[in-house]
Amino acid sequence: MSDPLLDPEPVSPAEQQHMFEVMALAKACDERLRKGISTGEFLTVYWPSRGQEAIAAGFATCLRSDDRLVTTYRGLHDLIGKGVSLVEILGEMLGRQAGACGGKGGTMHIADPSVGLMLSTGIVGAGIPVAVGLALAARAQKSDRVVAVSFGDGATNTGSFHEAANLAALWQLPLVLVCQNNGYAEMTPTVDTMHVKDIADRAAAYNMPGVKIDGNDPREVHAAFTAAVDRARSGGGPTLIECVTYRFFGHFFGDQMAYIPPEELEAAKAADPVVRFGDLLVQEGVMDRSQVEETEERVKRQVEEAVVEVMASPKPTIDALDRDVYATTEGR
Amino acid sequence: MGEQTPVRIPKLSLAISEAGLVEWLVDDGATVVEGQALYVIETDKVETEIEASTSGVIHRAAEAGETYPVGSEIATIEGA
Amino acid sequence: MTMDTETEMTVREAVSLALDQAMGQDDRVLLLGEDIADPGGGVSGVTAGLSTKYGADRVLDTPISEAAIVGAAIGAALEGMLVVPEIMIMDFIGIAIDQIVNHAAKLRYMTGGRTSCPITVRTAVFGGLGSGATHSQSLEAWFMHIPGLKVIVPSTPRDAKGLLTSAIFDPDPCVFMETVLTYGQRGLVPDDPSFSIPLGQADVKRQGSDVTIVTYGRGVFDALTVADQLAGDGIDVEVLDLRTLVPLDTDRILESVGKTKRAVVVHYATTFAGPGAEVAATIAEGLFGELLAPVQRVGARFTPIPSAQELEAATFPSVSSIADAVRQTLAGSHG
Repeated sequence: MSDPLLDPEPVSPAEQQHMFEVMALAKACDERLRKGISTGEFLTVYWPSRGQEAIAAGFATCLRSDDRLVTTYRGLHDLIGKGVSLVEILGEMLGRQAGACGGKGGTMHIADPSVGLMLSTGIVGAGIPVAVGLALAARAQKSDRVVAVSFGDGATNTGSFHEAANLAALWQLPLVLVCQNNGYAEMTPTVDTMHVKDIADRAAAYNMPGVKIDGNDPREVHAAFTAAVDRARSGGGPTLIECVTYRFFGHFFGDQMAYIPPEELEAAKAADPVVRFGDLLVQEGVMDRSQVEETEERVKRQVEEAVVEVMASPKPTIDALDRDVYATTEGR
Repeated sequence: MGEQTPVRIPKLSLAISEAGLVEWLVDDGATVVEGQALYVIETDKVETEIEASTSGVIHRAAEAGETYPVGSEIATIEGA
Repeated sequence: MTMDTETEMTVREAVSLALDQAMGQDDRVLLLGEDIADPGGGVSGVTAGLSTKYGADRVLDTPISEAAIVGAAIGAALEGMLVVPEIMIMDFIGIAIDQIVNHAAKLRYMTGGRTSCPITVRTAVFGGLGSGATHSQSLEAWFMHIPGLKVIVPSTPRDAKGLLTSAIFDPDPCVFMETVLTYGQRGLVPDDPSFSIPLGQADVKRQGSDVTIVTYGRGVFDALTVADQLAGDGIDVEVLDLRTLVPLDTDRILESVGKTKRAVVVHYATTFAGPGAEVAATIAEGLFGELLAPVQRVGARFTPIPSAQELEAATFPSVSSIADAVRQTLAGSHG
């Protein structure tokens, strides 16, 4: 039996173009957000996922529309990959009625069950037990849908991660655990937070398959995600995928990044996964340069159109304050 | 009179609720271009240049040396 | 057995009956917890027989993983299942509290109504058994404080069955607090499988005219004993069983104390910053000027709960300390 990572099924040109488009869109959305926040045009909080786009391209091409995704506050790219609309994402971040949650949740709590985005959480590690439950329900409801959960390297030190990984393996649930290891847990280098060398090795503690990949290579991401999703969907249980990646803007937007060596950051930016993949596709003839540029222009326009629509959307009215605390207003 | 775009004190960081306007980098009534540095703010001892979000004529409405809450309008840029 | 007959049973049996009937009526109901499957049937035997009857995939034994138990319950609830996770002993709920407070309570609100968590967290208070401070607490006040949760504390078997049935089918997350020392209390429970009690309705367990004891859970039994004792002294005590702490039945509280003009609040949670503080403030706001005496609270002492029997008993309310409080309330009256 071939190792899907050593000998992956070739990704079709159409899928590769789709992956590039998702990555370019996430990049464009991030750039527009940072421009808006830094000039005072947008008033919001933001945990940038710039640099981690290849992982989102995996969600976009390896999950079915009815598969579920749980993500975190650093989830812009994941939301885009899963198909949450730009208007709903930006609208929620900017506190408008057009937002996914009507402005009530904000950046960290965007959900769109219609595309399978069941939860974004602000609590590190807390999404993983919930993902276990989503997978449990898939089985109980006799569906072959799969659940993927995104979390960072820091989350793998939380009790929640360990409890959830154990349960997922014990019950052999259809779950794909995607660790986006961007080298830092908040302001601390990952190597200073754990005694294990590779997060993927933690899977062995639960007798679960664990694999470490270059999370900035969309094809490696595609191969690993495909293998894990297939395993989950066919009843083979969970997989932990450690995607090694890098974040370009620190923990939160405005982070001075005093703890990051400048040469490390420069090297990461020089190896920008979005630019690199575009160059690779041109080199291999999957796309030509004008198609790459046209994609980049198109996604920028899409982002700008979404911004215009969001800025025209009203802010929530004061009566929204007491709505949805309970199912009924009398429920208090 | 063209479209007026407000210039607001940005929320440059999670825990910032106000910022000191250190100095203006452009005169009142100057023509500015998108991306041009307009003023310097100070938060937590860090000074940052803030760029224009659009092009046009700037009408300043705040004083250097004062502190303003995040989101306050300190100028407008009048587009063509 | 017809639909309007009743059967006498214990609180434990009533809780079990509610779970059994809910599972039988609705495939969406799923139980999760430590040792809940047969042959154990739960540390107090409440879930005995259920895994045999409904299968191990609907009554799931879990490892000791409170955060994952409740987190998984929430995930399954997001997909429309009606999940009843059990936290074996209430003192352990701290391990799961992040999921309860930051997910279950808030997801409906934060997602603008797009997702919600119809879970019922069942848990049991082990106070009064000499188990010591980490196995004895009544922590309902923690959950009253979190908007988005419902908090239910039944007393009698009838209330246990009726309230748990409502909680399981309620679209909002509920914390359902059982008390081990009341598991053996007996009472009549309607046989009708659809019998339920709406949440947010307090219940007058004993009518009276001189003073209202506002209480819930274990306190109800003490209050009824006190009422019987004091009747012999010509003191007519009304016992108001809150049944749910959130939603709190403010109308009934004010109606009862509006009639008696005197209130004593009794609970097994710590008096200081306990649920009684909310009740007392509610009464003061609603009836200031009409009360004949200040509202008194009889709750647990402000100490960790000691293990030695006499010390533990002195920590908690007792029939005599409650009776004393009632007498003081009447002695301090202006009318």
